[in-house]
Amino acid sequence: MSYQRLSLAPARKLKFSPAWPCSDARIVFDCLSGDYWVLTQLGAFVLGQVSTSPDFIVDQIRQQVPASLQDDTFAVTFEQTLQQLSDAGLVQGVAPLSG
Amino acid sequence: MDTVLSLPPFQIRVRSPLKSVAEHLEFFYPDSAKSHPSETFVDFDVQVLPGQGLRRWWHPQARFLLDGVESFFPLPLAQAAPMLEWGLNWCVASRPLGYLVMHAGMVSRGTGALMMPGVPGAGKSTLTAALCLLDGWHLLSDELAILNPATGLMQPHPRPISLKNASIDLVQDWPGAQMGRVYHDTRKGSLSHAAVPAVARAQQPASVQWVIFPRFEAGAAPQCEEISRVEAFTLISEQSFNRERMGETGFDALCTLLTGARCYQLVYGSTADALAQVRAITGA
Repeated sequence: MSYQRLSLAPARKLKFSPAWPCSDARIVFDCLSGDYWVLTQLGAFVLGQVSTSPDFIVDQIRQQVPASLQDDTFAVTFEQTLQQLSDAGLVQGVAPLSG
Repeated sequence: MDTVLSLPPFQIRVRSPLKSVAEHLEFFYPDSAKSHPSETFVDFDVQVLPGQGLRRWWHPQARFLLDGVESFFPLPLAQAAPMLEWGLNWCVASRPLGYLVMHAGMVSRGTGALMMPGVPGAGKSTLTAALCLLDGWHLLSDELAILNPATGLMQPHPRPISLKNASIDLVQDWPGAQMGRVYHDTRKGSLSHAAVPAVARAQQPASVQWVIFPRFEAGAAPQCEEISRVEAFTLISEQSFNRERMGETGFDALCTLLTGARCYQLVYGSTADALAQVRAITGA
C-alpha cells in the first residue's frame, strides 16, 4: 500500500471487542453493516488509530506501534496489515494533495 | 382450541382445531398460565390448521401460520404437534423483540448458566436433557438461548426438549423424563419430545459463566480444550439468528456475555464422558 495517509473507509462505524486476556486477536464490528472481522493486535491498533482522526499519516502510526507488537519482521508485517485492512474495506488511502 | 400460552418472555396465542395439537399442549404445557385471547397482549399469534383442497382427503396435511401468513410448506397431518414446536422456534428466532437469540442448549444452577451452542446433530439436546435429568441442572432451553441485552441475563424458556433417533431411547430411560409420542419419518428422522420435571425448569434469569461447544462423535475419547473468547465469538455468531439485525446492541451484549464466561470445545463419545467433563469444567 503506497499511500502516505490513511483514513477510515466511508460508511463505517466501528466498535472493538474488549482486549480479552489470553487472546492475540480482537473483533471489530461495523455497527452499520452488521459485519465483523477478526484482527491481529497490530491490525486492531492500526485501525484504532485511524478511527480517531479524519486521516492519519502512515509513518506516525508506524512509530506509535507499541514495542510489544514489533518483531524482526515488523516492517513487512506492518505493510501487510495495512494491505489487509484496505482489502477488507476498513481503511482507504488518501491521495496526497498536489500543486 | 384458542388459548394464550405464557412462555416467558413471550405470550403466544395458539389456535388449532386439531386434537393432536391440543393433546400436545395439555401434556407438555400444563403449567403454562393460559388465558383468553381477549384478555392478553400476545407476541405471536399462531395457528396450526388442516390442509386445504382435495389433498386433505387422500394425504391430509397440517399448516402453520403466523399472524395469518403461511410461511412453510405443509407437513403430514400426523406431524402437526412437532410442526407447532418448530414453528414456535421459528417465531422466537426470527422476531428480535429486543433479545439476542442463539441456537444453543442452556441450563443453569443458581444464578450461573451454562451455554452450549452447536450445529444440529452436535448433541446439544441430549446433553441438555442429561444435565437436567441426571445432574441436577435447571433447564433454560434446549434450542434457543435468549439473551436480554438490557440485563445481560439469559431468559428461561423451558419448553419440551426435542430428541431425535437414538437419543429417544437413551433419554426415555432416565429418571423423571416425561416422553411424548414418537413421530416417525419427519425431516429429521424419528422425533420425540421430553419434558423435564417442573422442579428442573429454570424460573429465574441467569448469567452465562461457561460456554461449551459440544460435539458428539460415537466412540470418541473425550477431549476438552479451552478456547479464546474471540474464537467463541465467531462460533456463536454462526449460531445466532439475529445478531446482525441486533447491530451494536447485539455486539455489546455478546461481548459482555463472553467477558464473564470461560469457553471450551468438547468432543465426547458417551453421555457419561460428557457429564464428567462438564462437572470438571463447572466444579459441579
